[in-house]
Amino acid sequence: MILKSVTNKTIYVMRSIKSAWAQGVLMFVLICASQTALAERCLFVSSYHPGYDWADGIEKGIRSVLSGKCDLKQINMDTKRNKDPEYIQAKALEIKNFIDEWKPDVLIAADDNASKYLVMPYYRDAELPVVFCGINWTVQEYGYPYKNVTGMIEVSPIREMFEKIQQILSNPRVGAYLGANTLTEQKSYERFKRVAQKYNIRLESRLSSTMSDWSRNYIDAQKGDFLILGTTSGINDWDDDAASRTVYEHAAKLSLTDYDWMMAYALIGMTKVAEEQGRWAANTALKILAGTDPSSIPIIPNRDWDMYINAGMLARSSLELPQYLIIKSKMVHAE
Amino acid sequence: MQNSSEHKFRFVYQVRLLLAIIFCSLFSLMLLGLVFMFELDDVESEFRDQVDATSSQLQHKLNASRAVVSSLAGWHHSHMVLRAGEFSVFATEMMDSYPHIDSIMFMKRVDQSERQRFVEGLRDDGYATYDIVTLDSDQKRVSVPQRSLYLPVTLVEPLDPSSAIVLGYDGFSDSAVSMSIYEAIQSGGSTISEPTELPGVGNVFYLFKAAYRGKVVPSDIKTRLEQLDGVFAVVIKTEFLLPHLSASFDGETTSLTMHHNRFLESDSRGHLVRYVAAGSSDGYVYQYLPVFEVRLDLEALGLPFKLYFQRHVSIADFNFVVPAIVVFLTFIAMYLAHIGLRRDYMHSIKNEQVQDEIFKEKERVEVTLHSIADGVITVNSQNIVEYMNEVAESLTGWRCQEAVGMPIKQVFVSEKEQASNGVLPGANGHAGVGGDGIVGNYVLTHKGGTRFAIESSRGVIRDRAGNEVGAVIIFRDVTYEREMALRMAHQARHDELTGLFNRREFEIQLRYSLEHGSSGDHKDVLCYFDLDQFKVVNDTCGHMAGDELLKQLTHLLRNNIRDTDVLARLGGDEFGLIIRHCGLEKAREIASVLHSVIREFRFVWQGKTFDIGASMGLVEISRDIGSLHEVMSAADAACYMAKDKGRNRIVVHRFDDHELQMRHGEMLWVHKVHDAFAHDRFCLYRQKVSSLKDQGAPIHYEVLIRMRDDEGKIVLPMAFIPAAERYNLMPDVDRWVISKALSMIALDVGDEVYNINVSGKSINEESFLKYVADEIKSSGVDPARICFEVTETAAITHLSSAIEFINVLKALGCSFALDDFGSGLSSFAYLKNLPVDYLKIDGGFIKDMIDDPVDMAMVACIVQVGKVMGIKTIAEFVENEAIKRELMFMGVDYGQGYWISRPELWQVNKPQVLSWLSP
Repeated sequence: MILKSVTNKTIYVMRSIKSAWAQGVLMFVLICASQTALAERCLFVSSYHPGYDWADGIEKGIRSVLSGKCDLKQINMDTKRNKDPEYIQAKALEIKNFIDEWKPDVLIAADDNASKYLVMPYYRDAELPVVFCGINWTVQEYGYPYKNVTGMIEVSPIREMFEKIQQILSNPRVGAYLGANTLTEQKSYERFKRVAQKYNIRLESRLSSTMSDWSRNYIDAQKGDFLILGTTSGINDWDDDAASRTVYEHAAKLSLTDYDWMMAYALIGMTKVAEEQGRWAANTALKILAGTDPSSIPIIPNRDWDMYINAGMLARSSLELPQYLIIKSKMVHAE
Repeated sequence: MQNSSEHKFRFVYQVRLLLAIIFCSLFSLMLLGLVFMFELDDVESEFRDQVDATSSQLQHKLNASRAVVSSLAGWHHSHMVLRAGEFSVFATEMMDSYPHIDSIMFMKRVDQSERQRFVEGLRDDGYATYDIVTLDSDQKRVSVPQRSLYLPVTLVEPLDPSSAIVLGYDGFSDSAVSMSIYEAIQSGGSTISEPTELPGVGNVFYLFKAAYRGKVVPSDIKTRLEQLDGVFAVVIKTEFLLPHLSASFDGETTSLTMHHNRFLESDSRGHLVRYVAAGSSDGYVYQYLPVFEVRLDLEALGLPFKLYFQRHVSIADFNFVVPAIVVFLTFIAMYLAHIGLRRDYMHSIKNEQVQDEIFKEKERVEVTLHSIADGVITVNSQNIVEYMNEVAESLTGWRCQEAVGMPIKQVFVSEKEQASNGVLPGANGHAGVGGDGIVGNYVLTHKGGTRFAIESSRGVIRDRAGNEVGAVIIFRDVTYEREMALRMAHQARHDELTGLFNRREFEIQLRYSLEHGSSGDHKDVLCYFDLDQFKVVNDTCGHMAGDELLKQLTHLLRNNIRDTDVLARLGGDEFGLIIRHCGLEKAREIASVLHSVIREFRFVWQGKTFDIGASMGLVEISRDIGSLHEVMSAADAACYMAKDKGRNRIVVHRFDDHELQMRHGEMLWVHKVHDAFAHDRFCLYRQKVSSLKDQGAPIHYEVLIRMRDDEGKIVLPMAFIPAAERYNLMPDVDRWVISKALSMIALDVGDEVYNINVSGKSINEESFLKYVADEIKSSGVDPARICFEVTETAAITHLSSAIEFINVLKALGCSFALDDFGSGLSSFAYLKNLPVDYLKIDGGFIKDMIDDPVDMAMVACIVQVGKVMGIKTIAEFVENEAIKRELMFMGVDYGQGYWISRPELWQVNKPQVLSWLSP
C-alpha cells in the first residue's frame, strides 16, 4: 500500500513535472506566437495627412488595437492637400512598390483615395488582405466587395439629422450643404440630398474651394431654412478666425454638422467617431491575421455618433430647441 | 557460539523490525483511510454545495435572460422605430449587467415581397454585403432560397468582426430555431432553443421573444403570426452561463448536464447544457475512486429542466499534505523503530560479548586464583564467603563449596601475630572486612587445628557508585619466612657465637637505660669488661679455642646475672653488662660475682689450662653523664684503668678521678679523630729543617699533622695523638699522612726532603709496610725526597718490625731518622741495629743545653756517635741563636725550631703546579 502511495505520489510528481513542462512549452509557444504576431506586418495607408482630425482619429483607433500586436507601419497619401490625381497615383504606386518590398500581411486603407488609387488598381482580389475604412456611404464605385477586401463604411446619421430638423423647424423646405469641394464632400452631399428628398426637402450644394467661397456660401445659405456643414478639409486657405467671424456675424438659421471639428460653426452636431473606423479596421485586420477569410466578414457601416449643441451659438440664436434635445445633448462651448 | 548468538539476535531484530514496519504500515494505512474518508466527505460536501450554487446560478441566469429578452420586446412595443443606435445602447447595458449573455440580436420579419427592397435598403445604409443567408453543409453563408417569410438578423450587439457574421442569418432557415421561435410566438412568452453551433461563436442556445407591430401583443396565435415584426434573441453561450461552475469545478472531473424536458424527449443531443470539467482522470487509481451524482429538477423561464451533476473523485481532490505528513511520520516512526531495535540488537550483541568477556574473565580470574600461591577469599558486604581458591582451601581447611555462604569469621579463623616469640602484642582476633587495604601478620588456624603464620591483605570491592559491596582477602603462608625473619632478627640483635646481645642491641638497651633508667639509688649501671688472657689463648691455641672459651664463659656469666640484666658481647673479648635498677653498690657486687666466676674459671684446651681474668669498669648510668658514647667511653676508661693497674680487677668510674678524667678525655678525642677522618678535618703543616753546615744541602721539612675542630680552629697533634696511639688509631693516621704528603710532594717540583713521622703501632702492623711501599710507587715521588721519622721508643718497642720497615723502604731510596733520640736508656745499644740516616736529638736536650752542661754533654755525645756511625744529626727545639750557634759549633748537621722556622700550612704553590702541569 505504501509502495502504491509512493508510486502514485511519484506518478503525481511526474505528472506535475510533465504539466510544468507542458506549461513551459505552451508558454514558449505563446511567446513565439506573440513574437510571430509582432513579426506580422500591418500596413496602414491613410488617404490624408497627420493633423487632419478625421485621419488622426482613425489612426488613433488603429493604434489603440494593433499596438504591440503587429509590426505597424503607416503611410500618409496626403491627398487632402494634394488633390492632383497624378500626384495621388504616383503616391499610390510608390506605396505599392513599398508593399511589394515590405510584404505586409494585411493592408488597412483609410478613406476613399486609398481604395480608389491603391486598392482598386493594384489589389483587387489579390492575395493581400485589405481592410478599408472611412469610405463614405458606398463602395460601389470601387467595385467592393472583393474576395480579399472587407471593412467599415463611413455613414452619417442623416435620417436622424433630418428628423431633428423637422422637429425643430415646423416646415423646412430648403436647406444648404456646405463643405469643401472634394470627392468625399461631393459624395456626402449626394447622400444628404437623397435622404432630404425623402423628407420633401430640397438640399442645395454649396461646396467651396477657398475660404472666401465658403464664407460667401455660408452667407448665401442663410436664405434657406437650415445649413448642413460638411467638412472643410480640402479648402487649402481655410482660416478658422475668418470662418468664425463669418459665422458670428451672419448665423441666423439652424445649422447642423456630422463632423465634430465643425462644431465651432454649427448649432447642432451629430458627429461620427473616427476612432470607431480605426478600431473596426484594426480588429478586422487581427481577425484576418488569425485566419479568417476577409470575404466572410461583412462590410458594415459605422454606428457610433453623438449629439452636441453649441451653447454659445444657441444663446445668440433666436431658435428654440426642444427641451428633450437640450437635455439629452452634450453642450460644447466652441466658437 | 558468538555467531550463533548473533544470528539469533539478528533474527529477533529482523522479526521485531518487520513487525514494527507492519504495525506502522497498518497504522499509517488506517490513518490514511480515515484521512481519505474525511477528504471524501469534504469533496462530497463541497460538490453538493457547488451543485446547489450552480443550480441557483443557472436558474438566476436563465430567469435574468428572460427578463432581458422581455425588456427588449417591451421596448420595441413602446417605440415606433427600432433604431440601431438605440438598440446598441440598450443591449450593451443589458450585457454589461448580465455577462452570461453572449449577444443580443434582433431578427426582422421580411416577407418575400419585401426581400429585395429590404436588402437594398440595408446595403444603402452601409451594409454593403448584407443578404439573407443561412449556412450550408460547410457552414458557409449562402443566400436563403426564396420563401414566403424570412427572419434575418438585422441588429446584433455587440457588433464586432466576429459577431457581424450573423448579420443576415435567417432564423427560419434553421428548423430547430424556427421551432423555438414558433413556440415563442405560440406561447406569447419567451422560449428556449436547442443548443446549436453558432459560426464564429461556438455552442449557444437562444432565448427568443417575439415582437409585434402595434403597441399591444396580439392575443391569438394567428394574429401574432400576422403581426409579427421580428424576434429578439438573447444568445447565451454555454461557457458564459457557467463561469461560476467552471471556476468551482476547475481541475476536477465533474460533469453537468442540463436537460430541457422537451429536448430530452425529442432531441438526440439530449442536453441543454453539458459541462465537463477536465481533471486528472487518468491513472490506475482513478477507476477505483467513487463517483458522486446529483439529479435535480429545476424550474426556470417557467419551464422544467433536469440537472444531472456527476463528480468523479480524482487524485487531485485529495489534499496530500496530511497523508504526506502521515507517511512521513510513519517513515519517521519506522526509522525510530529501526534505530531503537537496532540499538537493542547491538546492545544484545554487545551484552552477549560482554557476558562472554565476563565469563572469560571469570574463567581467567578463577584459573589465575587457582594457580597463584596466595589464598584468596571473596566476601560480600555481609562478610559472607562467596569464593575461595585452592590455596585458601588448603590453608583454612574449608572446601570452597562448604565455605560459600558461611561467615568469614567461621572460615578464616585468625589472630594477630605477637611481636615477641612469633606473636606480636595487640592482636585483635579475626580479620574483619571493615577498613580498606589492611595489611597485617596473622596466625591462621586451620580447620584441623594447624596454625599458619600468614600475611594477609584486604581490598574492598566497590560498585560504580563507590558503595562497598564486598572484599577480597588475600593471604599467604609465611610461616617459613616468619621463622627466617625471626632468626634474622635474632641474629641482628645477638652475637652468633655466644648468643648474647651484640653491640647494636646493647647500645639500644643502654640508650633505653639512659633515657628511661631509674634515678636515685636504683640507677642502672654499666659494666664494661674484657678478658685478660683471651689473646694468649687465641694466639696459642687458635681461634677455635678462643671461641670455645667465650662460649663456656658466657654460659657461666648468664647463670650469674639477673633476668633483667642485659649481657652483651661487644666484640672480641669485650663484654658489656647493664645491671638494671640496682645502684652502684649492688652493681659492684654483681660485677664482683662475675669477676669471681671468670677468675675461677679454668679453661682447658688440648691439655692446656688457662686462667682467665677480666678487667672491669663500672659506670653508673644517669642522664647527667651525657650521651651513650660518653657512658661507653667512661666505662671503657674505667676498664682501661683496671688494666692499667694490673688487670683482673674492677674499677668504678668516678668523675672526680683525674686519671679517669684523662682517660675519659682520650676517649673523647678518639671520637674526634674518627670524625676528622669522616669529615676530612685533618690537614698538613710543615716545618723547615735547615742544614747548619752546608747551605747548599737539600732543605728538609718535617711534615706535621693538624686537625680542625668543629669551629675550624687548628688543633695541635699533642691533643689527639695520645688518644690515637692509645686506642690504636695511629696506623690510620699515619696512612692518611703518608698518602696526603705523597700527593703534595708529587706536586712539588723541588728537591726538598720531607720527613714523615711513623708511629710504632704502624710499624708493627703487617700491612702497613706494603701500604707505604705501594703508595710511594704509585705516587711517582722520588723516594730520596722522603725521610721517615721513627721515634726511638717505637723502634725499640717493635725492633724487628722497625728494622724490616727501615730496610725495605731504604731499599726503595727512602731515608730514615730516629726521632727523640736520647730519650731512652739504651739508645745507643739499639742504634747499631737500626740502619737510620739521621739522629734527631730529643728536643729536651736541646732547649736547655746552653744552661745545662749535662744536656750539652748528651748532645755532644750523640753528635759524636753520629759522626762515628756516619749518621747525620738533627737538633730540635732550636729556639734561639745561641743554641743554633752552639749546635753549629758542635757539628750538628741540621737544626729545627722556631728560631729557624715556624711550622706553616703546607700548600702547594700554584706556579709550581702550573709549571709541573705544563709540557
